[in-house]
Order: sequence, then C-alpha cells, then structure tokens
Amino acid sequence: MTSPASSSEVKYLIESSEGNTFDVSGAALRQSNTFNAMFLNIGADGPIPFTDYNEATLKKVFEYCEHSVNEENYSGPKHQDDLSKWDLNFFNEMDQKMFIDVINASNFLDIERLTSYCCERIARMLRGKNTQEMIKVITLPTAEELEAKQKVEEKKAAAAKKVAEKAAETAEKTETLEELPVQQLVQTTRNKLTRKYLSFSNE
Amino acid sequence: MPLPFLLFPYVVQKEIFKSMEYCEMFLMSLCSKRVKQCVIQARLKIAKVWYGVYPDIKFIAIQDWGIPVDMHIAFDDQPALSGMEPMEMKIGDDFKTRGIVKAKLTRLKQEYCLISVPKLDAKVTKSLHEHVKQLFRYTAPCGIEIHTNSLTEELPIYENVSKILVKGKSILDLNDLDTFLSQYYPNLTTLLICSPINGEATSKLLEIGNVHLSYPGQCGITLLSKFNGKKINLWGAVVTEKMLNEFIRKWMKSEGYQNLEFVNIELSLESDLLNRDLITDQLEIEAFDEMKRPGRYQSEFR
Repeated sequence: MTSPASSSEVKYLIESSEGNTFDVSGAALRQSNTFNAMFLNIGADGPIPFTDYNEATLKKVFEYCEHSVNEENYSGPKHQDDLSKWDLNFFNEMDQKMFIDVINASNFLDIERLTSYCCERIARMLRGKNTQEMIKVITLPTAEELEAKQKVEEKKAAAAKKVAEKAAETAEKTETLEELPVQQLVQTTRNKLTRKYLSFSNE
Repeated sequence: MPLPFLLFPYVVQKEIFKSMEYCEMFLMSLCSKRVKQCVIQARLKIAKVWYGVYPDIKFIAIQDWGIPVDMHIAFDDQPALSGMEPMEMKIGDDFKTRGIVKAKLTRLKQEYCLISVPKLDAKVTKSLHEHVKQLFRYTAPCGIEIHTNSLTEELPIYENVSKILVKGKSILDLNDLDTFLSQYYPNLTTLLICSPINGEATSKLLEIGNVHLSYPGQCGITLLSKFNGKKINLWGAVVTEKMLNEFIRKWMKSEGYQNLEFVNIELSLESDLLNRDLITDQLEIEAFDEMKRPGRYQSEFR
C-alpha cells in the first residue's frame, strides 16, 4: 500500500480509448473515488485502463485534478461566482462536446468537486429560461425523432441478428469442413497407433 | 451543441437539479414526460410547502431550511393569452393546458415562475397540487394560505396540513370556514385568521390547538370563553375588565382551560383602556418573585 506522503510522487499510467498511455501523479488520481476504491490499496501493474474516454478528455480531467491537488480540502460545491480565474479559464476553454465528455468522465471517476462544478454550470445555462427555451438547451428528441430512432435501432438489431446467424452458419460450416477432418484425422491416427501398440505389446 | 440532458447518468442529473431553484425544476418537469420522470427520480427533499389559494392566483410557496417562506411557482389567469407564444403543457396526472411561462422576482428577490393560463379553475389547482406532490419529497407537514373568498371554491384534498392561514380584507363568514375545515385536515394544529370575522366561534374553531385572530371582533370573546386549545393570540380584541377577570380566575382555579399554555391579547384601538386595578383587585395575587419563576417565557406560535 502506498503511503499518502509518497503517493504524490508515484506516477500511474493511464490508458485512453485510443490505446494511448500517459502518466498522472498519485496525488491527482487520489481525487478520484473510483481510483481510490479500485487501485489505491492494491496498486496497479501496468497502465490503468479508462478506455471509455478519449485521451483529450482524460487529460483535461486530470489537468483539473493536478491543479486542485494543492487546494484546501473540498467542503461541498463551490458557487460559480466563487470560482478562481484558473477554474473559469478551465471551463471556458472547453467546447460543448468536450464539456459533456468531461462531465461523464468526471462522474465515472467520481471526482466530486469537478462533477458538481460542471453540474452547477449546466444549471446556470438553464437559469432564467422558460420551458421552451430550456427544451432548446437540453435537446429533447421530438416524437418523430424518437420514432425514427426506434426504427433505426430495430433495423440495426435485425441486421445484427442476421450477421449473427450468418456467423453461426459460417462457424458450423468451418467446423464441418476444416476442424472435423483434422479431429477425425487425429482420432484415426490415435486409434491406429493404439492398435499398433496393442499388437506390438501382444507380440 | 445542445446538452444531451436525458443521456446524462442519474447522479449527474440529480446534481444538476440540486443546483437549481425549485421553480426551475418545475419548469424542467414541463419539458417532457421523460424529463419529469428524471426530476421525480432525483427524489429531492423539500422543507415545508404552502399552497396558496386566491381567486386570481394559485401558488406554491416553499419554506426552505433557514430561508423565509416565499413563492416559487404561481398560476394566474389571462383569458386572452397574449405577449408571448403560449405553450402546450401537461400538469399533474393528465391535465393539458396552454400557458405562457415567465420568470419573475418576488419582493424578497426570490425567482419564481408565473404561468398564465386561460382559465384558472379547479382542474388547474388540482393538477398543480398533484404535480408538486409528484416532484418533491415533503419532509414537513404542509400549510394552506387561502383567501376568504376562496373558501367555498372546489379544492383538492391537501394532505398532511398542519397550518391554515386565512387572509383577506372582506369579512370572513365563519360558516364558510366551518365548511372548509370539515374537509380532510386531521393534522391541523394552527389556524391563523387575518381578516375581519363575522359570527360566533364555531365548533371547528374550538377544536384547533393554536388559534390566532387578527381582527377577532365578537368572535374573540366567545372563543376566549370556550377555548380548549394550547395557544391563543388575539389582536385588536375588544375585552372588558370583567371578562378578563372571569377568564383569569377560571384558568387559575383550573375550572377550565386545562390545555392552555399561552395567551396574548392586544386591545383594539377602539376599545376603552383597561383599569389594571379592577382586574388585580378581584384576584388572589402575590408579588412577583424571580426566585420562584423566570420573568419571561419564550413561546413560539407554531
């Protein structure tokens, strides 16, 4: 087990969805409750796979963690008005797509402070808006879109089923054409050898 | 790129709702059936709800932890909806209406949403009650603030009500109040009436533990003589030395008022000044001794 004092010096390798690896300090990683629960006590051999998130997102999340390592202990969500210049820059630099990815990654890694800042930021985006304006911000699929999405999903499922059936058929054929003769050959050879051995031993 | 709110995990959605005002959560719940379900699933706790029932406005006021009670959601009627494009909304279980939503500020600078609907009838009141009940988890009994003219309106059954506040400039008919109170309010502990009263104290009024009357008139005298509850507060009362004497004597001798803990009577400006000697002469009194009992007691009118 790594001691808290020394863990800040320890570097961990993180693997992203692209298969790339980069290192993050133990102190930064310790802000993730997911990491704490999974690796802190047992340590990690080789890179830690966070392969549901891309490298850019993970780097952004850990950039935040690295920055907040030296901050005082977290005591509940901080109001957006109280955010430091660095924090504001951190959020303003991100485009919407990256922001969404960061929220999801932060939620998965269970980084309480980052998640609550992001969520408060979303709440702010919706502040002062009426229902129609809110709908524009949060993109609700319309009934037609939902129907279309369902149809696409059904089509995909049907296609996947077909592919699976085809794959199963091909596997069966392969079994009969290639694998069985080999097996039979092995069995036949084994039988022959056994018979030969038996006849030899009788002699 | 818009936010895929419905695709966020439950924890994230809940955290977003936590950063929102109650009125914003209410507006979110009107976005779609699925968003409403998200608000419901977040199971957000609410301190104390006040249902406001006035002839021209129905509202939900919330008394949060350490924050004074203030309005958060309001419905008013605007027969010819104008100014903005009205939107179709589904409130409560299955009530559909068209309305215009506006964000406003209360006197205490609290943000609230005002929804104007073409007809503010019993269906709207019922649906608003259902909707709020579905969205939030109540942690304390509710209160009702009702206008004297709305007492005879068709209202939903408000559950777990502990306080009722009746307001209005028009004279309150105690028979109307009796009819209103005869509905389902078994947990009612406090009744506050801030309007002039017509009639004598009725049986329903005498069943309540804590009663406050701002303009009691003749009702105050009968209520004081028959009161069976714990706390009574009469402002602008018309009482005489004789009445007070009788009341204090009965209370001291335990001939009545067995439950009474607190009495506050403030005289009406029209009433004659009381002669203190006329009261004390009739009673067995002794000099106040701080060693025997404290000089002041603190009592909250709850």
